[in-house]
Amino acid sequence: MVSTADGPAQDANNPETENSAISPPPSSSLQQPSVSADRESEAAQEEERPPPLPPRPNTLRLLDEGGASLRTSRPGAPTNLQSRATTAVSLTDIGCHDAGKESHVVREGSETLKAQASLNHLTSSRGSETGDTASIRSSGPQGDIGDVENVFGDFVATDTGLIRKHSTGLLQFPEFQADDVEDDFASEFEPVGEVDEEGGNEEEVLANWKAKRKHYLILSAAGKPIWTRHGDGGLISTYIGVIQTIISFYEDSKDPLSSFTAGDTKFVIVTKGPLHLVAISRMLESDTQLKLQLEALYMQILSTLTLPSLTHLFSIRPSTDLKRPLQGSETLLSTLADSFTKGSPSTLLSALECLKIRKSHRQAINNTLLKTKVSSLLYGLVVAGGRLVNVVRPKKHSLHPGDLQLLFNMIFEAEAVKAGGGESWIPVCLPGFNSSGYLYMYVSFLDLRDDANAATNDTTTTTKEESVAIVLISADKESFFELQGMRDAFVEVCVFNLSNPPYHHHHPCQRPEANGCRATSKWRETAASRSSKKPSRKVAPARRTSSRGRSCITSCTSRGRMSSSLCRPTTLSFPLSRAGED
Amino acid sequence: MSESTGANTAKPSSSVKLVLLGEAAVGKSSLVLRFVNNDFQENKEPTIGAAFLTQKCSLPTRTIKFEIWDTAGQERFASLAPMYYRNAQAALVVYDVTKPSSLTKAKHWVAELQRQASPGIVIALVGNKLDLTNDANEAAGEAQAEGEHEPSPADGDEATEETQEEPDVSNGDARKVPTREASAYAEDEGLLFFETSAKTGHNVVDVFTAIANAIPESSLKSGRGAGAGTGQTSLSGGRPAEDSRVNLGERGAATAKEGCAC
Repeated sequence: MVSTADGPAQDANNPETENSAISPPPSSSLQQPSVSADRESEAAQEEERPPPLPPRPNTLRLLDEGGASLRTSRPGAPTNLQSRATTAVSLTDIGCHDAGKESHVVREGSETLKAQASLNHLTSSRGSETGDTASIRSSGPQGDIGDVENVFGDFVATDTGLIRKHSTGLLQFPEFQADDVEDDFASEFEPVGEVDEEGGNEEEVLANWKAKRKHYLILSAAGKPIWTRHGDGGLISTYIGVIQTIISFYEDSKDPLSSFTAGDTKFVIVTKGPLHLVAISRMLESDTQLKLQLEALYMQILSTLTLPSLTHLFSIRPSTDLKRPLQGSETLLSTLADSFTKGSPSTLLSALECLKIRKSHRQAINNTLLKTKVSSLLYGLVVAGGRLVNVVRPKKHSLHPGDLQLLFNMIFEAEAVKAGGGESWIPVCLPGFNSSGYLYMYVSFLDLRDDANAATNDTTTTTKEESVAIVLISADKESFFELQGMRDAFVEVCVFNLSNPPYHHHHPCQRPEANGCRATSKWRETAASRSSKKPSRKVAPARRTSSRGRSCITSCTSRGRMSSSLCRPTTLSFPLSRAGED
Repeated sequence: MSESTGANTAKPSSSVKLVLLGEAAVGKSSLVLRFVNNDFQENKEPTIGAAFLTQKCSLPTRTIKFEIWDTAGQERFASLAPMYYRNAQAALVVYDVTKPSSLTKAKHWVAELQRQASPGIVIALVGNKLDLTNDANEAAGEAQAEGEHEPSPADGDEATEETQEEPDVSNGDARKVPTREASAYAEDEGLLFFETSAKTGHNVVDVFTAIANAIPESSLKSGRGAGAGTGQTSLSGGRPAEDSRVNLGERGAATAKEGCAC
C-alpha cells in the first residue's frame, strides 16, 4: 500500500491495491441486485452501516509530480470526458462504464443513484454554461474500478433508504449530507470528558472514547503521544503503546505496516519522518482517503513547525515531546480532522470552493488587487465566507490547494484568528509551496455591516458565511505595515467602486490570452483557468474549448474552481451554487 | 471608555506602540479585547502569531493612540517577539495570578525587554484573572496596597500551600501569586504594577491610562508619533530605518525566511 504513488493514476492502474485493503468483501457487490430490490432491509442496515465517503484524490503527491502522465492516459475526447464526474455518485457511473462487463451487475442496482446524480447536475449547473460543467467533470479522478465497486456497494446497501427519507434536505451533494442525517453523528464531535482526580469515571470516559467512529492519533516514532482528536494523552496512552508496538514490529521486518482491518474498523498508518499518524475509522472510508487525510494533518504540523525544525527537534532528541512546540495549534488539527469526518466536499476533493459572483465584480476586485499590490506581496487573496473570491500571485509561484485549505481552516474554521478582533500577522509555513520556511500572512476581516450595526461593537454576530477576509502573504516578516497599507488602499478603491458603478473599469478582455497580457509582466491574476505554469503541460481539452470567448478569470473562478493546479486532475472543483447569488 | 473622547480633536494626538507579552493563556488577548471592544469571551482560542489592534486613550492634555501588538504566548512564537517589542514605547507583561509559573515567565520577559528593547520603554506588570480570587471585588488602586489582604510573606511556595487548602472552588481563592510578591518585584524593577480582570473589566482601562501617563512627552515627540493621526503611514515610512538596524538576534530567522525561495 505504501507503494501507491503517481497520483490518482495509481488508482486506475492498480485497482488491486485498493481491493487488497478495502473492507467490503467481494460478495458485497454480488449482493447488490437483491439488496436494491429489497429497500426495507437496506433501511434497516443503514443504521449500523454509515455510508462511505467518496474517495479523495491524492493531491499531495501530485503537487510534486504533476499529472501529465495521467492526462496522456486519458481517452481525451470531450464526449468521453463528459461522462467523468467528480462526485462519488457519478464516479460510480464512470466505474460502471469503465469496468464494462465486470461490473454490469452493479449497474443494475444504481437506478436511484443515477437519478440523484442527474438531479445533482441540474442544480449545480444552474446558471452555468455546459462547457464549464464539462470541464469540471473532465478533471475528475480516473475511474478506480476497485474503489468504485466498494464505494458503490456501500451506497446501495445504505444510501437508498436515506435518500428517500431525507430527500427534501438533498441539495447538491446528497451523498455527503447522508453523514449528517445520522442520528448519533453529532455526538462524534462532542468531547469525551475528562477523567476526574480519582479516576472514578475513567470507564465512562473510555466508553465515550470508544464510541467515536473515527480517531486520529499522532505519535512520535519513539512512542510519545503527540495529538489525538478525542481524549487526551493520558487516557489513550495504553492504546498508543499498542499501536507503537504493532508499528515497530513491522518496521523491524523492513516492511512497514500501512493498514489493517478489524471487523468494520480500518486502521491506516502513515509514517512521515519521525512521526506516525494513525487513522482509525469505522466510517468505511478507503485506505486512500484516510491516507490523504493523515497527510493533510501532517501538512498542518509542518505548517506550524516547518520541516527543518521538525527534523531538527527529533534529530537532537528522538524522545522529544512535540506537544510543546505544537501548543496552541491543536485546535487547527482538530478542526481539520473534523472537516474530514464531516466530509466537507472541498476537503474531500482537495478543491476549493469559489464564491459565485458577477464576472464584472470579480474583475473589478482583481484589477483592484493588482493595482494596489505592494512589492513585498507574494500572494493576495480575497475570501468571503470561506469561499475564494480572487487571488493574485506571481507568475512563478502557483498556490497549492492543500496549502490554501490549511489557510482557510486556520482563518475560518478555527476561531483563533477571527476572534482576535483586529488584524493578524501570522507566521505560517505553506508546505506545498515550501516546507522549509515561514511566510507571513496578514489577515484582516472586513466589517461589511452597516455603521449602525457596527456601532454596537458586537463582534460575535458575524458568522463564517458573512465574513470577508483579505489575506495577504509575504515572505518578509517586517512587511506588516506595507501589507496593511495595501489592504487600506484596496478597501478604499473597492468602496470607491461601490459608490461609482464598477463598469468604469476597463472591461476584461474577452480572450484568455489577452487577459493574461493585461496583468503586469511579473504578475498575473491567478485565473483558475490559467492553463498551466509549465508550458509543456497539456490543457484539458474540454476546458480549452469551454473557456473560449470568455474572460478566463471569470469563466472559471466563478464556477467554483480553484486556481493553479486545476490542470491537475486531482484538483477537483465543482460549483456549489449558493442561493441568492448572482 | 476612552473612545468617548473622539470629540476632543483639538488635543495633540500621538501614537504609541505597545506590545503584550506573557505566557500562553494568561489572558493577553482578553485584556486587549476588553480594552478595545469592551468585550469578553470565555474559552478564547489561543492567538496565532500576533494580532494588531488600535485604540485611543484620552488624557487631559493629549490623546494617545495605542497601536497594540497582542502576541501569542506559545513558546514557538517567542523568537518573533523582538519584531514586536523593537521600538515599542510600552509593554504589558502579563501573568496569571492563579499560576505561579506565569510570573516566572513574566520576569523573563521583563529581563529580555530591559536588555533588548528601546531604553525608554514603559513596562507594566499585570496580574490577570483577578476574578478568580477572593479580592476580585476590591476597589481599584490595590496595586499600591502592598498585599495587606495576603497574610503570608512574599513567599510563593507558602502562599501556594495555603491556597491549596481551600478546595471550595465557588467561594475559594484560586490565587497562587500573592500581590505582595509581584508588586515588590515590580517596584524593584521600576515597573508599573496592576492586578486586573479582563472578565469583569476591573482595572483594565486603568492599566492603559497609567501607561499613557507614564510615557514621557519627549519620547512622543521624538518617536514615530510625529505624524499624529496618520500613525500607520508614518510607521511604514519608518520601516527602512528600522530595517537598517536589524538586530543580531533576528539574523537566524531571516535566513530561514530566505529559504523560502521567493
